[in-house]
This record gives sequence, structure tokens and C-alpha cells, in this order.
Amino acid sequence: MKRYLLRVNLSTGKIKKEEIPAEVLSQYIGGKGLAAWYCYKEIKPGIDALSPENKLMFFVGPLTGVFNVFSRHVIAAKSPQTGTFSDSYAGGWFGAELAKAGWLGIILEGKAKHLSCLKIEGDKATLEDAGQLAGKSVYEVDALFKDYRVATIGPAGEKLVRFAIVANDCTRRQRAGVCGRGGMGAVMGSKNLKAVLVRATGGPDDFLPEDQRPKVAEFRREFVEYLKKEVVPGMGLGGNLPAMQITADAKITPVSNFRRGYDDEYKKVSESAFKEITTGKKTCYLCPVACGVSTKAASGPFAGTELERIEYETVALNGPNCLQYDIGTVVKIGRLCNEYGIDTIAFGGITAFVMEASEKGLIDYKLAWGDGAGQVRLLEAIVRREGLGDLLAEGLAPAARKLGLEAFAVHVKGLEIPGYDVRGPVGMALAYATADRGGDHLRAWTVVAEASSPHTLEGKARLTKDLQDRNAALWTLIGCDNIPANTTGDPAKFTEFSVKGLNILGLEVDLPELLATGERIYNLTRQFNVREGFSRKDDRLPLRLTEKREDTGWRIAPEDFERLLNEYYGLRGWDQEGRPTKATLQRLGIQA
Amino acid sequence: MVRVRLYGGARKPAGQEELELEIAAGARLADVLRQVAGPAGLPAGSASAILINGRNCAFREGPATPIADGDLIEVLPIVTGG
Repeated sequence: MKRYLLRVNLSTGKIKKEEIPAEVLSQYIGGKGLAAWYCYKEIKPGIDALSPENKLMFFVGPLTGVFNVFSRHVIAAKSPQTGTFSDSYAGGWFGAELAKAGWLGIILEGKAKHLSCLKIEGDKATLEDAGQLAGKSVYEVDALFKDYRVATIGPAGEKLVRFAIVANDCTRRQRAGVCGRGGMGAVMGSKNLKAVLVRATGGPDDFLPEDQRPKVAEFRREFVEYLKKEVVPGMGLGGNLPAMQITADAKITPVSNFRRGYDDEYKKVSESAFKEITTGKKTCYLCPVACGVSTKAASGPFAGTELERIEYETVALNGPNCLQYDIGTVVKIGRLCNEYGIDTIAFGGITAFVMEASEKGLIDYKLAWGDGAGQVRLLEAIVRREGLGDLLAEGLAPAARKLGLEAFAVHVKGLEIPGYDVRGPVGMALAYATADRGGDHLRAWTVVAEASSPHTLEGKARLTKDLQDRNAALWTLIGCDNIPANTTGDPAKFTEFSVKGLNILGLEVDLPELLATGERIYNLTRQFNVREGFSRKDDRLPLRLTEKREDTGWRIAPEDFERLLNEYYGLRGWDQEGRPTKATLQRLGIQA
Repeated sequence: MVRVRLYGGARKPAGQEELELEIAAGARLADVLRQVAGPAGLPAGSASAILINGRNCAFREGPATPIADGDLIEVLPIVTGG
């Protein structure tokens, strides 16, 4: 089963089908690995992320569309939010369709003269005028192309809002997906590309060699049993919504711009509250888990608002972090963020920043904690780039810098941090600070596994490194993130299943090799960032996390964090400035 | 006397959220945890973080950290999700 790379030059209109060199596939496999390799190789250092010189890349993995829970795709580029390598992942059905059409990836170069869309039908691709799609929401675009799987930006991407998303499958019976982090939608908008449409030709499994089909069918059955037994019980309602109760229990929910970590009111936006307004469950391609939770606000100022998929992060950042406990308002914010096409984590972080600055009289703009109508107004001002909204559309970090209010901006490398206070579970603080795409929880979700690591500096540093490497490996295949983090069994089983899937397709990879690939990728993305000027000075926690929490007094002292960073760099084989040493690069076979 | 707070699922071994304990001179964190949870200490997989006076014990000597009278020890549960 050979899959190809589709290269599209939007400036010239030239479209090319390329082979991916065998040695590159062998070293980087797919997904994140290929995205890292092509970004490092092809994106010139120091370019403006919103210029035609940036490249926007879509990739899937060798298991995509073949096995259950491998339906995701990644979009990568130099991020306009952070200036780092950035990779953002989405579930749904788009990725599987791209894989079934015979593609492993798409590289989009240059900039189209007019708003355009890329239409892929099997192994044919065309660029078409999309002027009629200008200003349309992601829902409106999706609904226009029911015969295709659609990945699209909303108005925010067209307006180059730096935390714009690319959304897919938004109006279908099945689960939608969002590449939410790092501003991939802004890069797409900067290229005058509104949407990518894909349709595979032939039957669902036609792309598989006939001799592999019986083994594939058998392993799918085994996979479904595993998911039902060890993953479904850990998912609760879905959408990671059980995390609200769990973070409240652990006192690590973000409350009032991360000043506190607990508020009794959380119950109003907890999993049980969402159960009351759930209207359905949706699933990704070939997945029995059905984690996509559709909701409809039942009361309050936004009664009747429907949202096809809600997640813990949206709730935590736009709920407790803004002291917003009207569940319907949270649904409304989620809906509008999707319509316009912006990242709900970024928006929640920015809103809480504005609320704190407003409370302290540090800006003219008035926005009180818990003011739902005000949250909606702020969102619309950002998308229309009006007044303060225009500055905020540039992202939290540059806006805070310009306002002289950096002390209240909770981000790492320009990426707003997700919904977990890490002043207690400090492995997670290290994970935020060293995530290759900026403040992120998914590169290493340490709090599920910190329990099994020794409560020592070395233990925390090793756990963070090992999970970063494991996830980088799993994301070459782009398995579902939910599974290792939510399984009721041993997370290692998912990695073993992934290797078995590769072997069934004839790819001779074993577990140590897969994990070594992950380490190679994590060092290559670090090299990308080092080349862009990132170093130890950027592996920082936001000031807020080094201050005493108002409720518990927890803090991470800067000198403690430096020791943790030293331990981590040592384990990684990086120098004290956080640069991979020559010996490390050589050991991993990276030509830098 | 030390105070021990165990949050969420981490309270299971002690059966309650807050305890006050007399400790022996020279006691270390691991000794206190054994007083809380029995001779084997906290069961594996029950704590994502242990803080002493608001500072993660990993920044001191981990389970071997000496505990003094008046210290507050907080035990955080694991957090699934992500």
C-alpha cells in the first residue's frame, strides 16, 4: 500500500504527485514525523509565519483509515502564534478519507491570488476559485460540500487572527474535528486557501492490498474489543468532560485567570451538568468510543444554542477561568469559536486576561468576571479586528507585551496554557515549558502517570521526556490521544497495539524502534526551534505559575524549576542552553 | 503535630480528607505516609504529587524529606484526561 505526497504551489497553481523517499519513511514513519522532517527541511529559518514562504502541511499515518482510532490528521507549519514548529491534530473523518484517497500528505506552498479551495478526488487534485465562500463560517462551508470531507477555515482565518483553527466534518452525523492550536487556520488564511475538500474513490477498503484484508479485519475486531473493555469505561460522557470533577478534586482547575485552582461553582459546568443537555454522541471513523458530545443549551440567555462537540478545555478556560458558570453561555462561546474558527483555549485565556486587567483598572475596556454577553462581544471584536479586539487577534503574548501587562498573560512561548494548574503536579509544568509547540498538555500528559514515577526531580524529568517521546512516536501513526490518557488499563497496551498494526501492514518496526523514532522526532522539532532562536530562556513558566496561588499558596519557585530543567536537559542529551548536542543528534541519526 | 490533606481519589488509603498526626523526631515524608496509609505507605498509582508546605517534595528530597512539626503535607490524586 503506497501512499503519496501531494504538493500544491498556490502561487503558480502547479500541482504535483511526489514519492516520499523510503529512507525518510523509515526514519519518520508518518504524521508528526513527516511533518517535522518536511518543516525542518523546507521552511527557511526566520521567515514570517504568515508570509507565502511558510508551508502548510497535512499528514496522516500508515494506519490511518485502516484500523480503529487511527482516523486523525495533523496540520503543521511554522506557527504565527509562537514562531516554533507547530503541529495540531484533529479527529473526525477527513484524515481517513485523505488516506483512502491514496495520500499520506499535502504540502501547500506560496499564496493564491484569490480565495481558493483545493479539491481532491482520488488521485486527482484541482485548485478552484472560492470567492463565494468568503466570510462563511466553518458550518456553512461544510454544509455546501456534502459529497466531500471538508477541512476549512472560518472568517477568523481569513482575517489572520493568529489563533485561528482549521475545522473538519462540522455538520455531519459523525464526529467533527478541529486542528485548534498554534494558528494553523491563520497560515491557511495567509495563503488565501479557504478549504481542502477530499473524496476517495472506490469502496472503503479498496486501497488495501487484497492479501492484507483478512488480517486487517481480524485485528479490527481485536481492537474493538480492547477499546470497549479498557477505553470506553474511562471516557465517561466523552469530550474529556469527566476531567472537570477530577481537576476539582485535585484542586487544579483554572479559576479566575489561574489565580485559584478550585471553586465550588464548578458543579454547574461539570460532566453531570453536561449530561443534562447532551443531545447525542458522535464517533470518528471506525471507532466504537463515540467521545464526541453534542449539546443544546436548555435555559439562560443562550437557550437553544447547539454545539456539535464540546470538550473539557473549552469548558475550563471559558467557564471557571472566566468565572462563567452559566452552562448555556459556555456552549454559546464554544459554538461561536467554531463558527468563526478560533481556538477555544486561546480565547478563554485571552478573555480571563482581559477580565483581570479590567478588574484592576489597567485597561479602558470593561469586562467583568462572568459577563457572558461581554465574552460574546469580545469574541466578535477579535474576529472583526475592532478596537482592542484587533490587538488581541495578534495573540495573548504580543497583546500583553504592548499593554505592559505581561504579568497577567498565562502562556508559554506565546501559546496559552490549557486547563490545568501545574503548581502542584510539577512534571506537568516541565511538560508545558518544554512542549515543542509552546504551552501544551498533550506532548506529555504526566499527571495520569506521575503516580507511578518516583517523587523525585529525576523521576519527574524522566517521565516528561519518556511521554514526549512516546507521544511523538504514536503521532507518526496519529492514534487517538484519548486512549493512552483515559484507558482504565495499562497505557503501554495502546503502543503495543499500534506496533502490531504496523506489522500486519508489513512494516517491520518493533516497540524500541518506534520509541526511538519518537525521540528522533522530538529532537528534530527542537532543532527547528533552536534554528529559530529558541533556547533555555524560552523554556519558561508564566510568571503566574511562579507566584503563590491565592487559595492554596502552592507555587513553583524559579530556582526549583531551573533544577528540574537541568535534570531534563541532561536526560535529553541537550546542553545547558537546551540545544541538542552533536553527539545526541548523531546518536539519533539527525542530519542538522 | 503535622497536618495531612488528601484530595479526591488520594484520600482512599486514609479514608478521610484531613488528618492531624503526631510524628517522631527525625521523621521523613515516607514515615508520615506510612502512618497515614499503613506499613506499605501510599499504594502505587494513588498520588500524582505530594507537596510540603506548598512545594512539591521532588524539589526537596522526595520521600526522604525530613518533616518538621507544623508542616502541611498535601497529596494530589492522579488526573486522567488530557
